[in-house]
Amino acid sequence: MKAAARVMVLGLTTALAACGGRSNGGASVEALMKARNLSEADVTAALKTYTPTGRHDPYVMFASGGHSGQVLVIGIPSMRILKYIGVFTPEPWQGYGFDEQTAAMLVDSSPKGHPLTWGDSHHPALSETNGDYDGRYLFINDKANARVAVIDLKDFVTTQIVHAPLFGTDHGGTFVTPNTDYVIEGGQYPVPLDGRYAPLAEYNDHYRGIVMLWKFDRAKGRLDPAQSFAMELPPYMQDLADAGKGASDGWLFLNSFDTERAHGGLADGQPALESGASQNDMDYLHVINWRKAATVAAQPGKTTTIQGVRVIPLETSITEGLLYFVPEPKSPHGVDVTPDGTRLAVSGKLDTHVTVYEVAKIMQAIDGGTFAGKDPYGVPIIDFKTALAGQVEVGLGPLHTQWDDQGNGYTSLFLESKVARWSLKDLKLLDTIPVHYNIGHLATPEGDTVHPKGHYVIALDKWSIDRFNNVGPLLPQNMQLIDTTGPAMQLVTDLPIGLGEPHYAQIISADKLDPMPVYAPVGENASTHQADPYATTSESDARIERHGTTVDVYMTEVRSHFRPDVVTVKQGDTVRFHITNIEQTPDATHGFGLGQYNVNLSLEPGRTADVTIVADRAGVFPYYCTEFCSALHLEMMGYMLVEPK
Amino acid sequence: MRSEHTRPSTPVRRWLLAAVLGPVVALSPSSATPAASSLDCQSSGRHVEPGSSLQAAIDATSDGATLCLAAGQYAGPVVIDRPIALQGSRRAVIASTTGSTIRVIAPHVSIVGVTIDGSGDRLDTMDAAVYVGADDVSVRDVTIVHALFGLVAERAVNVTFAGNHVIGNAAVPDGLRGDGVRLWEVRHATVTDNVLEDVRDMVVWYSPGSVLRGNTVRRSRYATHYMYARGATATGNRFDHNVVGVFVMYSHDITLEDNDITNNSAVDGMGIGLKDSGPVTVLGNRLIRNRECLYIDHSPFADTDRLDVGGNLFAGCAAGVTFHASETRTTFADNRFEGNATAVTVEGRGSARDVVWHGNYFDDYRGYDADGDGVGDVPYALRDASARLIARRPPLALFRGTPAMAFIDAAADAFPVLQPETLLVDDAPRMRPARDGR
Repeated sequence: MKAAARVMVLGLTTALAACGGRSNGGASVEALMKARNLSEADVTAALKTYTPTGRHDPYVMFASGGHSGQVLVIGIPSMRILKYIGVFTPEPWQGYGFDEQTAAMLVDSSPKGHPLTWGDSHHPALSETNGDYDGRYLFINDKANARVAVIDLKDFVTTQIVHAPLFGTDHGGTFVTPNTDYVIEGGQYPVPLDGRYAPLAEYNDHYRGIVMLWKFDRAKGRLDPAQSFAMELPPYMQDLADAGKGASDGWLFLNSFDTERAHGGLADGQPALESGASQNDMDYLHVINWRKAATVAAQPGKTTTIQGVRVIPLETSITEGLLYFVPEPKSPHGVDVTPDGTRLAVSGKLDTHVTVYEVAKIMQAIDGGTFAGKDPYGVPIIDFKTALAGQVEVGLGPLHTQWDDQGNGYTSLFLESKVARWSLKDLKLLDTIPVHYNIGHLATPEGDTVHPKGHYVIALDKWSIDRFNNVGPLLPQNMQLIDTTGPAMQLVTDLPIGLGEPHYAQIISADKLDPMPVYAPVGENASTHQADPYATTSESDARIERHGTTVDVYMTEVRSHFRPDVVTVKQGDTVRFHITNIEQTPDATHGFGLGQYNVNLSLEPGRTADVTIVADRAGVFPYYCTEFCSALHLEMMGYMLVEPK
Repeated sequence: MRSEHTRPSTPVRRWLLAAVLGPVVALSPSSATPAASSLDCQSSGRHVEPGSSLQAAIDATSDGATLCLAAGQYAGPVVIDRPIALQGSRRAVIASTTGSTIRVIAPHVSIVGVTIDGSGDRLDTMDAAVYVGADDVSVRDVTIVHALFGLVAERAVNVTFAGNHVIGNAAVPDGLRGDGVRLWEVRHATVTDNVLEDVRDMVVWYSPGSVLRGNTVRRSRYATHYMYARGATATGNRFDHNVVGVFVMYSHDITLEDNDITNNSAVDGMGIGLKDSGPVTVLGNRLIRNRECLYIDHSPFADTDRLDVGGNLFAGCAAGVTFHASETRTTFADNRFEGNATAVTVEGRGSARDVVWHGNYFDDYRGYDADGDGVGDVPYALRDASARLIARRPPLALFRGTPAMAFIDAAADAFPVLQPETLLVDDAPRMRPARDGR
């Protein structure tokens, strides 16, 4: 700082000390720093994240909720958690999985007769237009059960879950093509695609990898299974994917590990799978022409239907030129396409380098038909060295790479627990910053689009060890906010997540999101975003209708009462509640909690939800509003009276 | 000065040290040892002449016999599928440009003395000079040139690589080279007195009970990379001008003793790195001119593990010891810290106060020794200067007018309020290094 400026600041400090000190809760900044043992670096970090009440964040992060099966919505840089979105598991607060439509979504995407009550949400993907986030939809996969969900960002509600029964598990999803024509879902652990039993002795012949291309119908906001297709892959463990863009538009890249095809068998003297999968020096990056695959899939006779899904057989992919391999360093954990689409960054997790491929060189090898060999299934292998742009020495255990607006890549280093920043132009390491501990994915604002925004990196750390108060042996995971604007990165703040593993995240400029404040007009169903046929839009229409042993309750909620407030049925009746919050005031949400019958609905202003119970137990059952909606909230209740038979 | 802290060493090790300290002399162990003439198979054994089929000769050798190669060229690749000894002088050259040049798939095979020239060039098929996939195999005094990988052993017991010289390709970036030595699922490997130059790594993965002794690795990436290498010992090795000297991850009962690990000065250069490992003993090593001489991340690992770091020299390092976070169950005794930019750093706002420091020599110690017992009379304390510094000062404009920013800037010069935090305390610091160099 220039001397003159310093004198000015000193004067300002003196003035603040004289008249402004009291505004700090009675203590000077100096005293606060002493009392809390904060360094100057701590205070600058605090200034970079602290967001006064009422002020909004410039960025919004969507992070997977891991085992919770949910999605977390977090403001950046305040790191304030704004919402958990129910996706693959019931979420009582939102009534998600309790009303008719969402319950059906969860059941229909589960094995028949075995409703799933957990998911392993992994990789959120925001919808894109011309390679930029458009803020309209969010997709996410459930690794455990190979499900893909669509979340409508009009109201941050899950509207669709699909499952292709070809999969055992998925991991290479979700990723979207630059205009969200397709949502990519790559499998993880090979299984027989027909869903039948096959012994592990038949692993090489009957187990297969898979990648699914879900066609997205933007007009309907839904994935269209009839227009979707899958591609059979060798039984390697496919890992992460990314869609090409710009120079590589029309292609997708999917990496793999365990091309050794190790599959355990410790009792039979086989090495542990982790060891077996680490035997070879390299695995295979799958280079897939999805655009051409889509045309092939549309041709008669080019696909086989397996478990209701159109599948392009492996040999067809080879003969049609849809699938190529490029060797990639051992057990990679991410393939990330550069913003201009001309290069790919891949990192072997036991390597010290980020390996950068030149898409043009890969295409040259494909066009020229020059291959180093074939894998055991006949897939052409492009020579590793001829496909390279180069390697960047970044440190130990690189995993994932995201981009900023200055032409830099940010790579997570799992083994060193660091984030490395490097220049894409000259493939040079710029700086690193320690993170705590064991970073997996990382996220930068719009960092996987054609226009990354820079400014921040979020490190998604798997371990927290000593970072927080001890809460017992199960420790929270740790998200760390890093400011990347300076010549060296600065750690700003930590956000522990004590609910599942936030696996990956995407960060969007807040101004691209425009969710509705309330459901309008009154009577909208959040699952369909259509008028609910059973909506009751005014209190005067509230009523109870009996049709034989079925009772339809057309109920309204307004603060602070239900209408009807007494529902009398007979034991054994099927009771169908159709409940509408007829308010239009933002945040005037009501609930509908019916104990003993396992019902809780969330009725945001204008929303209608439907739930059906069988009143099989006689007695008196209070129902009440489960949102603290007014001073007379406790009084907002009613009785369901079930007369004995 | 050097003689003060080097231990008595063998002639070879003395030479190796001299090679680093003085002008580098292009010698290899096999040229320095007189063993070559004894490998010409003048006595017993089946003889094979250059130009004839080596594979046919192998196929015609009975179990337990020795196949002697006269000087000259032999065509590979070959497969050794029976328990034989294959030997020759360095002038007996087995050459190939495809796949692995010698594949050993039978137990009780030894390969001695020959030169192996070349292999295939595919990393994804791991083309090597010698691939060992059987028990009780030894490769000794072999010279390897122009090969992608040098010596690879997989799923085997009792493998010996001794006195070999692997010369890699310096023109290729290290990430694109093959490993000089690669052990995967090998129990009881003995790797001694080998010289690896311009290779990628020496890898010991999923391989318990290995002994690495007296090896030289230079101008490579990981001189040694241990992963799941329980019970490994590395002693008396000389690792120079690599990216990392020894990296230990996910491994238990590791001993690193009397190694020279020098000049790993790249941006990610590291002398010894420990990740999620323990118990680990780091004893009497000389760690010189590495960026981070010893990096410790969550080691010791288990609550019952210990990390003992004793009698090592940390000299000329950007950081002598880097702790990724605060550690416990760790002792630093009788080490010597000299000429480091910083002796110890702790990342993540931690400290090394829970580490036991005793009898270490710090060249920036400013205490006194009134009673003349060689131990300073006041403790040595290292303070964290960085607590007073903002690593990078943000543009002032961002915070102009905010009280805190004004305070920070003013405080920087006007009234320092923050005492630097104490990172470590050694209650018995040495006034000068111990006589044995510690």
